[in-house]
Amino acid sequence: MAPIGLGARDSLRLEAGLCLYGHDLTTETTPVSAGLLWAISKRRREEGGFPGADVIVSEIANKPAMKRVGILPEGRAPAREHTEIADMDGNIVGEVTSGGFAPSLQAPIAMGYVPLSLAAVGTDIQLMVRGKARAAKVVKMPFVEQRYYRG
Amino acid sequence: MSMKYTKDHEWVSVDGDVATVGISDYAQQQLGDVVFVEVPEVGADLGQGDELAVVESVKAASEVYAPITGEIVDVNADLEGEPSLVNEDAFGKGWFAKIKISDSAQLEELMDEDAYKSFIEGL
Repeated sequence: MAPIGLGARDSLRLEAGLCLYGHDLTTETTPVSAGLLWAISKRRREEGGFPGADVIVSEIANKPAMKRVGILPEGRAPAREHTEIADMDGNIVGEVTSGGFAPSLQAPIAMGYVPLSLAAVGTDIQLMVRGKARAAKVVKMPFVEQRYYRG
Repeated sequence: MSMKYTKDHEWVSVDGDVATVGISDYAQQQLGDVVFVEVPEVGADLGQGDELAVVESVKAASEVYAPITGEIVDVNADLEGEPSLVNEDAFGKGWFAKIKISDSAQLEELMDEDAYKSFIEGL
């Protein structure tokens, strides 16, 4: 065992594909766009009756405009929170909400929100890191296989 | 001439009219594992205090500033594939760039080894 700090916790959290409130989840995001529908019971999904139900039930039926995705930058440059995401034509379409370096993979990883049309695994996107467009791909999460202790 | 240092923990080593720049051992220890270095382009003209490079560690991205004014005449291409050189040999193989000195008087304002040592002891 060794002492760790917030940096270690944050890289483990991101490798596991877990959201950090205030970053990947905000008052602007919904459980549908964040891919957290499992957190809403089946009955609530069908009947509503909870704060935000109008928006959420409609997104379940009609698909959300944006989706939270895993992002694997090519090369070694990390893309951190608030890095702009562009499509292959250079249009800014979204933003990185968590990003850093994954010690387990020895590579940079990120997550962020992109339009539904760019959310499929394998989609090529670009990350605007300090004014330079860098190639990246939408990938599935978790980035590192979960091995949670389940007792 | 021996090394000179800035308050932002850059070091400068002068050979003729060219200064090699890197970050100090203290700086690399504070940063932790360096995972990426964005070096400037050869030919870039930098003023003293301009952004010279960006060092990314697991924890954060940090700017490295030009300790003196001048033109970038060489950059350390090895850092692209092996950014950990900054951790392993901050004062040697982990150098960032070489600057053609345009005003040698700027070097006089920098700290010498002893001054830098007492500077970091006071942090």
